[in-house]
Amino acid sequence: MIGAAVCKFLAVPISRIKGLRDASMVALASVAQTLLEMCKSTLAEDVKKIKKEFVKRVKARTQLEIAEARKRVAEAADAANRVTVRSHEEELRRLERERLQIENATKKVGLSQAEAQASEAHSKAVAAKLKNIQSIKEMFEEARQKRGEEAESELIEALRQLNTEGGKIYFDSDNLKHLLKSGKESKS
Amino acid sequence: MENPKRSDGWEKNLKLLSGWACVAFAARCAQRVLPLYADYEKTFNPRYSNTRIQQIQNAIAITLEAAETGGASTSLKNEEFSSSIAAIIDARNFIRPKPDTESASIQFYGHAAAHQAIQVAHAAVEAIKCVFSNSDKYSAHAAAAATFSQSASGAGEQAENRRKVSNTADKSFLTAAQIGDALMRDAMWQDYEILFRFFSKSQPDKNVRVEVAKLGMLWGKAMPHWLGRIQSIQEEDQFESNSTLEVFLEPGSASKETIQRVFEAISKLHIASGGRGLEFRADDEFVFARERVGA
Repeated sequence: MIGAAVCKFLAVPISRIKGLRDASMVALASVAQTLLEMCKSTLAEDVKKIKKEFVKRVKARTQLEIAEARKRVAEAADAANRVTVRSHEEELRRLERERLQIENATKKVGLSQAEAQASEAHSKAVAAKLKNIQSIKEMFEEARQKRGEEAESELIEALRQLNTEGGKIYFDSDNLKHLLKSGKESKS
Repeated sequence: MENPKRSDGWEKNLKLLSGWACVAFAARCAQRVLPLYADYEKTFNPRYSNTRIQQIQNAIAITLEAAETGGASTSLKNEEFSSSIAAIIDARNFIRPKPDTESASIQFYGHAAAHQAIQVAHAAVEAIKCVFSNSDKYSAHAAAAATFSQSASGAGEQAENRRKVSNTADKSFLTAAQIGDALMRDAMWQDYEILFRFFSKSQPDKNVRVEVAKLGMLWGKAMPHWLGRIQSIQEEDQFESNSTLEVFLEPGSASKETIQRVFEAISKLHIASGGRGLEFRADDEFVFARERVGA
């Protein structure tokens, strides 16, 4: 009798812009790092464990029960993809806003720099504005870190819910390690 | 000896080169156009075999190595080389029939380009055979490699242009073949000039080994459009194979919304880490099922 089914999904970065590839790889390495940590807890597991336990590999279309599970997971993935496309667009807008804010602040400094040559007081003003740019950047970085922590909490919460409803998520530790390595190479 | 002129033609000019220089010349021609063959196979052949493409590339790499070592390469003696040559002959036979498509379609020109490209590879291995059998026909095979290369690049450029221009009477469409042909001719002439300078028959030792590194990059500043597209596809494939996260999900009795939340959360984590989000694709061939005893 066939029982629980495990469906495999391939998650690929949606942005293929050449200049953003390295950023995507670094981000994926960070995701892999988090998931590797989760594999140490009960929230997620290494798929190698179930390869021994799950003895039968079948085609979904031949098994009604499994086909239903697959359909449900595939629909959920489609819905998530649609949401991701929206998030992707929002993210692009957010990055554009950040870029403009830094650019504007930089331009202001540029204008005053000519004046700064005339007096020391202006130089101090320029330094203060440069400091301001730095603080804007730091603010964005803090916000980014906060978003990261929030995303991690959301994932933990989602996985808890999945476990409560009898579901389970697995990752391949070799795949995660490979992503980590690729991310490090992109960073360097 | 007078310096050779481009207008003298490949046949005459290549006769001035030593045997190994001709082999190196033909192998470089093959390296330039083989991406056209691989691209056609991947795009239009449902029974596409990556192994065969690798074998063909391998045969050409060994041919170049032979020129570099003056025939002393150990790779020439192993079975790998003979099976790689067999792959070229196989490919040549396979690609012979013309596709049943509209003439002047992408596939039509793609087929022409791939067909010529495999002829170049064949000419390169024929050239090496001639050197080993002390036949002086190696220069004729190198000349054939040059001619096929030009045609391959011309057809490749036409296929490329066909992707953008639907009207075959368009001026840019008509000149595409000439552009592809000319870029290839420039790249080959660059090789030829260096080979003539260092490895021509007039040099004291005509069996001198060819220092392939002297030839430099396969292409100069300009490369055909077809190569640009193929390279960007290759980069894309490389990126995808390096950046695919495998997720295995056992849904249990979880609702669609719960599962969706999990996928979304993973994607959000990617965005929060500086990425742009992840797209989840089902791997249809992979479903594990657990045997439930007594259920």
